[in-house]
Amino acid sequence: MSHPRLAAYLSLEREMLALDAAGDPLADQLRDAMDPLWYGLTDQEHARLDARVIMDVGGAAMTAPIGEGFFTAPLQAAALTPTSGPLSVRDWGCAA
Amino acid sequence: MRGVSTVAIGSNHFVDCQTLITVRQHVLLRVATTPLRVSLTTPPDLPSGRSVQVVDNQVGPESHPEVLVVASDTSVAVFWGEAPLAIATLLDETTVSLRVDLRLIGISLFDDALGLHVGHNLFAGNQITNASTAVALG
Repeated sequence: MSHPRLAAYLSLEREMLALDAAGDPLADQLRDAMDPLWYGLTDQEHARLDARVIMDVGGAAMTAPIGEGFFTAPLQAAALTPTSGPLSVRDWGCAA
Repeated sequence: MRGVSTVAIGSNHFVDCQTLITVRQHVLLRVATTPLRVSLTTPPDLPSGRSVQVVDNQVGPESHPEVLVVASDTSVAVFWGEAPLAIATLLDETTVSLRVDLRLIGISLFDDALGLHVGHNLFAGNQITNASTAVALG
């Protein structure tokens, strides 16, 4: 699922928060400039953004970059079961 | 009120950490005790669209209909359909064992005997104490 406007909003928001944390007055101007983007989002996207809990991660114990492999296509449930072995049992039923 | 707790995930121990994992400043995973509570909230721009919004064991309205929480006094599990995403088990009054596997919702984060796998990274054998956020990804 692609959310180009939402992704752009979040990207700008991160920059705005970083400026704000640094005490840069440009943060307020950036916040105002983001208004058209905010109003261009859907009601569902507004609801998701409003429901967030945002943390100040400046005090995080460990930080790590999100690499390309972090967000992936969802695994299918069946793939969680190892299938590399020689044994394959399907549609087996037993009642004692 | 959040209680003092140790959360064990894939050989890592998080002691009195308010938030276990954040993704780009969004809280992804929290566990608290007294009583046992799990919060699992995916970022709003999750590419897979498989939104999970569980806060203190309660499924939020923005969650996908496949999301289910099963809770008792000593365990809390968050499911996607029949597949577990997170299982928290109270080992004693303040120690929680947490198993997590978010690959089903398009996030490469899971634990196994080697440690906690996050994307292509591995966290193993760490102890983090009194951090507002233990692991910040982003």
